[in-house]
Amino acid sequence: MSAPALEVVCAAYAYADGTRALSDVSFSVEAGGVVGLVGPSGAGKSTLLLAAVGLLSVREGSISVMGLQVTKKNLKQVRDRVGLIFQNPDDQLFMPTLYDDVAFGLLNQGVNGAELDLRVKKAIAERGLSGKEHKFPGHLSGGQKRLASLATVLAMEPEVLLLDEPSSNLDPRARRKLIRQLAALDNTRIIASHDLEMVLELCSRIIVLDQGRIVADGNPRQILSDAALMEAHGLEKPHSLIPHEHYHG
Amino acid sequence: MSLQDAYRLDRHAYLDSMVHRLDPRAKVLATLAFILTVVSFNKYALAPLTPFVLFPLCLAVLGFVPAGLILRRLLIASPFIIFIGMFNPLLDRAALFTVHGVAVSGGWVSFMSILARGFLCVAAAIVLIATTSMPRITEALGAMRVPRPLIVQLMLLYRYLFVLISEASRLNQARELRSARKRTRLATASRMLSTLLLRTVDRSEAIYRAMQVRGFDGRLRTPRKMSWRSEDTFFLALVVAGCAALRLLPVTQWLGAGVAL
Repeated sequence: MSAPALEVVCAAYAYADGTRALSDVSFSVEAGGVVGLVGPSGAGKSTLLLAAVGLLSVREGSISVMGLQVTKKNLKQVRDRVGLIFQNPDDQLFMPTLYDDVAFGLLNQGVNGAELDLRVKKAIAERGLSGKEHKFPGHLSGGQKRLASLATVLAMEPEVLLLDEPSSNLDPRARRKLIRQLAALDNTRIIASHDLEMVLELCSRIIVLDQGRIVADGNPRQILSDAALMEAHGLEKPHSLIPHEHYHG
Repeated sequence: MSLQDAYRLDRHAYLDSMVHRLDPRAKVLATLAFILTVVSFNKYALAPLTPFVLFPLCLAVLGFVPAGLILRRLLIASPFIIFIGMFNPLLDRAALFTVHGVAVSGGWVSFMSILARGFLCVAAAIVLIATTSMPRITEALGAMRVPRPLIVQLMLLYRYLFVLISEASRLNQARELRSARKRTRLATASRMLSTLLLRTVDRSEAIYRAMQVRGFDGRLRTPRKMSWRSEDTFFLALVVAGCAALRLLPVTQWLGAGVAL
């Protein structure tokens, strides 16, 4: 039996000011799984994602990616396997052209020459950004920036993709485009979001975090339909799960 | 300087021209030779500096760098250049020569010389960035065995400038919306400055995290390969020879373009 794509065992983390961001968090995600990570602001979603790529080190417990424990020694291999899309694409896009930005991770992986060119152009084309290779990423629209961020990480062909609030600040058309693209991927995806409709649409499993603890883990439709649970943890039952009669198209 | 303005210089570096196509090492070395020659003149040199304007001028014209792009940045640099030489007229009052009966002190001449040198060097650096791009310049420095930490610092500092300008613009917009068009008090300005620093540190950390996640290990790799061609040798030889000739020979006297001071 192959190792889980992501395995978190009794993970705990506290920030320097004493705020406990994660407490005894345990779960595992099989390869190819699409998991929604939801919860109120400050629940520990982003902390968990940062810990999964070794940007934060859990104080207790452990995190493993594709059977590889996230430790200082394994960071390079871990980061070759896991891609993280940050909430703010302006933080993710730091090179002077989109081409350079997409090439950045590949060059660090040791990809060069014709293969580099091929993979960069492919990643850009797959996100529908062909022709913008030499554009300054800061001048792309919000939706394009998000797709560009996705391209920078997907070019590295990660097995596990972590997304922090991927649909925030997007207009409906850009959001829809992003959802379609995320649905078409076959990587293991873990999506931290407040956009519960998107989570419902994309994820086959949902984990609810509150105050650093897992309070629910299971079928998205069942969990998100539980109005009392949602309310107790600063969330709201998605509109599409409320019985109503008006036309949705 | 607005964010758009800051990006203009960067964007210009990705155009195509014969200057853009030159190997970045040739351009860096030529600019270095130019700057070293310009600063090597004695403190009262003014007329001999005049022909040096050809270097940034020719590169700007051939590299399609708009004059406005250079002039705006020279304007930004001007307070720093003025500051360097502003005390010279006070410290060196001995008359050096007279013009229509008016004695001109050595301090004023050396002040003008500092301005000329400062503007020439900054103009050359601006043209270099506008036709090469900062990543290419750092690549060239790497190829010339400049220590890696220095190159990374330079690249990150350059990126930080954009973060700083972007955060400062946002902060200023928020202030303007709530300031009722009143002038900013010193206390408010100092608090804004500390907020700006904190914000930029946060943003820089976020950017650094994004770099780390994509395998950044302190070495900045770029997709382009450098190739030295005969044109690069010719360009570098021309600039070095030109600088040496202008430095060692009384060219301005021969041309009758001015009086060597």
